[in-house]
Amino acid sequence: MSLDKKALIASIGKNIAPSKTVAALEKEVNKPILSPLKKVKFEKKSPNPVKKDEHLSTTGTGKQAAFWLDDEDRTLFHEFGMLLYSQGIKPSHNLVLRAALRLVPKDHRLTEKVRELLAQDGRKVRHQK
Amino acid sequence: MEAMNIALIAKKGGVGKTTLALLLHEAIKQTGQTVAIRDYDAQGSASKALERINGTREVSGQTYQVLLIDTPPSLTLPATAAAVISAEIILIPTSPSPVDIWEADEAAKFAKAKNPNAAVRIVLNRIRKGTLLTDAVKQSLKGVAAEILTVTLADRQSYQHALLGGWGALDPKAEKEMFQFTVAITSLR
Repeated sequence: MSLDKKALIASIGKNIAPSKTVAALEKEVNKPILSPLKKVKFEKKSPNPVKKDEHLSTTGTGKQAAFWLDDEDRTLFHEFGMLLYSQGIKPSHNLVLRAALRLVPKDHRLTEKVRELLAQDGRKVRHQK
Repeated sequence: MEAMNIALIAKKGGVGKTTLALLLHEAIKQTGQTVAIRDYDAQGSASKALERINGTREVSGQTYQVLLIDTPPSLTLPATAAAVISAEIILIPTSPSPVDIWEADEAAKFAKAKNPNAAVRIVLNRIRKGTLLTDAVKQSLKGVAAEILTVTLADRQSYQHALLGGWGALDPKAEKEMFQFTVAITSLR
C-alpha cells in the first residue's frame, strides 16, 4: 500500500471518532424507559371540583402500566418516534404503543410473532406450561 | 461520542445514492472502523448488494462508528424525513445534468429545513472532466441551497463493478478517489 493511501486511511480514522464506550452503552441500556410508578395521594375534596359532564367530555378512564422493553423494542420505539416527528407530531411511547395496538392484525400473524418472540426470550414463562 | 450518521438523499432516482452508500461503506471498512447501512429504500438495492459483497446491514441494538442511511428517491416519504432528522451529515448526489441539479437544490432546501444542524453537501457524481456539460454545470450550481463537496466523483465503470465485487473491484485510481471522497465527508463532522 502506498504512503499516500496510508495517509488517507489515517485521516479517515482520525475523522471518525470512536463509538461510545462500553460503560456509556451499559449506562444507556440500564436507563429505565418508564419512570417508576409513584404513589399518589388522592384528596377527598378537590379544590376545583369538576362537574360530572365536564369530566366525561375530557378524558377516558384507564390505569397506568409498566412493562419490560428490550433493546430491539427501544430501537423500534425510536424509529417510530422519528417517523412521527417527521410528520410534525411530538412522539411519545404511549402514542406509538396505542396506535400499534389498534393496527395489529388480530389473526395468525399476531400468534406467529408472539411465538417468535417467545422463542427468542430466554425466560421461561410460567403460564406457557 | 455518538456514531457518525450519514444520510444520502435525492428527489429522483438514478443519481447514485445507493452506489455511493456502498462505496463509502467499503472505503470505511478498509480503515478498520465499524460501519453499517440502514436501508430505508423499499427497493432494497443496498441490502441486495450488501449480501453480495458480504457487507453489514444495520442490526437493531448494535452500535457502529459510522451509519450510512440510504433513502428512497423521494422527499415526501416519512423515511426520507426520518433519515434527514437523524443524520449529522447529509449528502445529495447529483449527476452533471441541469435537471438533476434543480432537483438537488430542492433536496438541499428540504434537508436544511428539516435539520438545520446537519452539514448538507451536494455531491457531484459521474463527472467527465473537460466536457462542455461539466462546465455548464458549474454555472448551474451557483446559488444552490447547499455547498458543493470539494471532492467530485468521476464517471467510472469500476464503481458499478464494486456493487458486485466490493472494494476489490476498484482500480487504483478509483480507490484513491474514494478515499479522498471519504476524507472529505468524514471531516464535515
